[in-house]
Amino acid sequence: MMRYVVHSVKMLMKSAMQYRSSLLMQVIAQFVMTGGELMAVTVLLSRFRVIGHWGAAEIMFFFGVMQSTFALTELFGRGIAAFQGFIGRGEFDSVLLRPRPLLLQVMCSQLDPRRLGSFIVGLAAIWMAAVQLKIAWTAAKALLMAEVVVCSVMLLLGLFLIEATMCFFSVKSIEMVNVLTYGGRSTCQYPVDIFPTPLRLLFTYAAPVALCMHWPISWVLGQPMVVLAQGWYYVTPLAGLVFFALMAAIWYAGAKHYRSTGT
Amino acid sequence: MPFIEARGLGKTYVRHAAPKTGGISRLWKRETQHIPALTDANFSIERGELVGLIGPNGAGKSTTVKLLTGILTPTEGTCTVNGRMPWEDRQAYVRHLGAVFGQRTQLWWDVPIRDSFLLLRDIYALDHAVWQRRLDELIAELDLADFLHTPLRQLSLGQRMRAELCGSLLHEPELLFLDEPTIGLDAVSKLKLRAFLKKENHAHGTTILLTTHDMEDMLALCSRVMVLGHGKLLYDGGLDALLQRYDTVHTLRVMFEKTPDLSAVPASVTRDGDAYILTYEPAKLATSVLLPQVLSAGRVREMTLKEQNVDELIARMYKEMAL
Amino acid sequence: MNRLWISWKPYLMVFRLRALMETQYRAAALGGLVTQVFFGLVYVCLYTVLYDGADAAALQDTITYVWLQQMFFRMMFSNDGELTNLIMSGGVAYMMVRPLDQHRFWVCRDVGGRLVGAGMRMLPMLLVQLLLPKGCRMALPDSPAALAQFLLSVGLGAVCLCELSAIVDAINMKTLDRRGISAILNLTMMTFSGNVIPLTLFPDSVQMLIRYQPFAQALDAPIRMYQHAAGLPEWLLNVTVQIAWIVVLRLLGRWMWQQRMNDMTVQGG
Repeated sequence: MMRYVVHSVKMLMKSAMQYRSSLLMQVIAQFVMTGGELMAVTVLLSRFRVIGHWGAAEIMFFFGVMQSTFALTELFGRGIAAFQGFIGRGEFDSVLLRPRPLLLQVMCSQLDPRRLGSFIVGLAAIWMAAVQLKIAWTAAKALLMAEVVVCSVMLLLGLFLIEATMCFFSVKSIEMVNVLTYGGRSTCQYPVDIFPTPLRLLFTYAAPVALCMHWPISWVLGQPMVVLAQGWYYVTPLAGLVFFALMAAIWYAGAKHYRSTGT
Repeated sequence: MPFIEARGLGKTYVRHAAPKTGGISRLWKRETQHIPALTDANFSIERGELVGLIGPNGAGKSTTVKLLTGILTPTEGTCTVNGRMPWEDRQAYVRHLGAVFGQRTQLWWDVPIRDSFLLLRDIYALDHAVWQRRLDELIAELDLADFLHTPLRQLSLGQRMRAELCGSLLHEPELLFLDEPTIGLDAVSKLKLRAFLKKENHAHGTTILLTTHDMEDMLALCSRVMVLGHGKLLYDGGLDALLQRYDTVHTLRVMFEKTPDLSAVPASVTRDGDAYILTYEPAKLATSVLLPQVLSAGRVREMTLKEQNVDELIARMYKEMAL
Repeated sequence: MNRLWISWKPYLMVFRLRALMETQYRAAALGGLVTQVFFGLVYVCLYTVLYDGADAAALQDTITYVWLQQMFFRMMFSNDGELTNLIMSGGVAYMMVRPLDQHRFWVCRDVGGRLVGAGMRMLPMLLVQLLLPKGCRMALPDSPAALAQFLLSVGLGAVCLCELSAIVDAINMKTLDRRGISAILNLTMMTFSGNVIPLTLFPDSVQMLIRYQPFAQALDAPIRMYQHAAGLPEWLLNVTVQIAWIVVLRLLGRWMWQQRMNDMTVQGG
């Protein structure tokens, strides 16, 4: 199984390297684009100084974590994020012919190395913010950050899976689900507690970005949104894994439906 | 002056590609390649002719068509169509020609095909009544009525090709280019398409230049063919003459009631079970001479004469021309 | 006159066809509506927190700006899939067998799609306003005159945008890489037209620069007119700036398309 994954990734890297200059261009493009968003946030912060009780550096930290995890998700999850095209081109049918787990195959079918550009900007934002805030890094905090990234990526993959599942049922207006993925990115690059209750509930319990990301981060920043015993900050991000598992199960049910109807 | 005339026509592409070998420098190094797609082509075509252009993949067929449609400018030589050079004042030139590229579409993908035709009416500045009459005619001929209001993207390949043909003939062009028009079509669609093209050529005197890999298309449509290979024009003349030149071996399969005496027959004989296979060259030995000899060799129960099939002939021709 | 009419007929026709086609995309419009309302609400919440009760008038202006941004999102961020496919597959060359000015043709098509697409989202978004709590709603136009100026300016903005977009397409034909340079150009377009954050929120020191650059003519200029009825001299200035940019961009785009078409006849599709 591992060999299959490694081999697929190698192949994808090779095919991406076929168009090196174009790839480099696109990485730079993504860098500039995410940089543009960073600039937009900076413009706002330069006018308003604070957002709620959060200062500029903290906001930058949240922004960085959201952008970098989202970039990682798109980097490895392009097969899911661009599933509509995958079905449309009939590639899913050929996946069904091969003796490997479906979801793994779909994920291994495409990489999106362009997102490295966004990822770098996200990391840079985190780094700048961390320096400004003079965060006292401990092994426990670093470990928690790693957990946050992994769990958030899984959560975001789960959100993309919703859209992918809808593709099995040839639903129109699929763009609506963007509200959760891209809308989630735009919303949750700010700490969720600045928003009114309905939005906050949506992104805490329905699509648990706050559990995965904002709660533990706010603890790392020394300003916990929700006061819990320390150990709990390691538990709440696991909601991302649960969410992913749930959505994957639904996706598989959708795949079953697709095979029986052949949309 | 002929309708289409090419003198020393040629096209060389310049391509930049990464070198195949060499370490890390492959990342930025680029090699320049000159690829001659067509060299020194000379031909002339009269008004109303139906000419086929054949040759293996990469022989220069599409380049020739692109040069004649004004999509490409030549790197050497010249050609005129009805006294005009295609690449000069392209917009004015293309007003009088139609083109169908089997693998590309000239209609608009996402609108109903009738809307595409309406747009073409305005593009070619056709009078509405004239357009309507021509459209009705083509709808009837090409059987378009059922899917006139369907967007192009939803049509089957055969339907799409008919729509494309209609779109390229609405303005009654003097000259029609067809680049592999029957590619991917089923047998019925192919037959219909051929019949239509013949009729169009006959009724309107439209000059048609056709490229294809389908030899049946050639046999059905073209009395004249041009064979291209490695960017050179290798043959230009009658299709019959071409076939005869390569149709060198016939086989006669005969079954006799009893064992015959074939010693006097001047053909080479092999056995295939009960049957005798006689192979001979019709150029040296006429079938009319051979047959009585076979009949006198014994009582014939059954006899079949086989010419080579066209695809085999063409394959042999390509091989002999070292393509 | 008649000749002019005939020569423009195909371009008006493609404008009409594209506009009609856009009306077919109702499912996409509905999906867009939901997304845009959601984003609008998020931004309204965000700005409400940012202003923190400090300046009610400025907050209301920003909220109005946000809703107009969302209403015109489709107009700003529209991508003609047909042209993209043609460029990517090299099919543009084959379109040259039609006696057409390709640049004018695709610009006209684009304007049709964008204007109708914007209209289709604008009306339901206006209805949605009625359902929103009071603090989240957009304000009415400054005056009837402001509304008239706004509508005219939106039309000019759409043309300006399509001329810009045609320039991006010409660049794509050269690089054959829709996603690289054009992604940057699109972002530039979105940011400096005011679609990401209101241009009015940029630092005051760059305001003069930022409101007269070409991208601002597409969205920011109409929104400013909506919020502030200009006197005749100021209005004339605004419209002149819009038209001037259209002329400049059009000439540039035309020239670039001609270059690309010439390249194609030399290089092959």
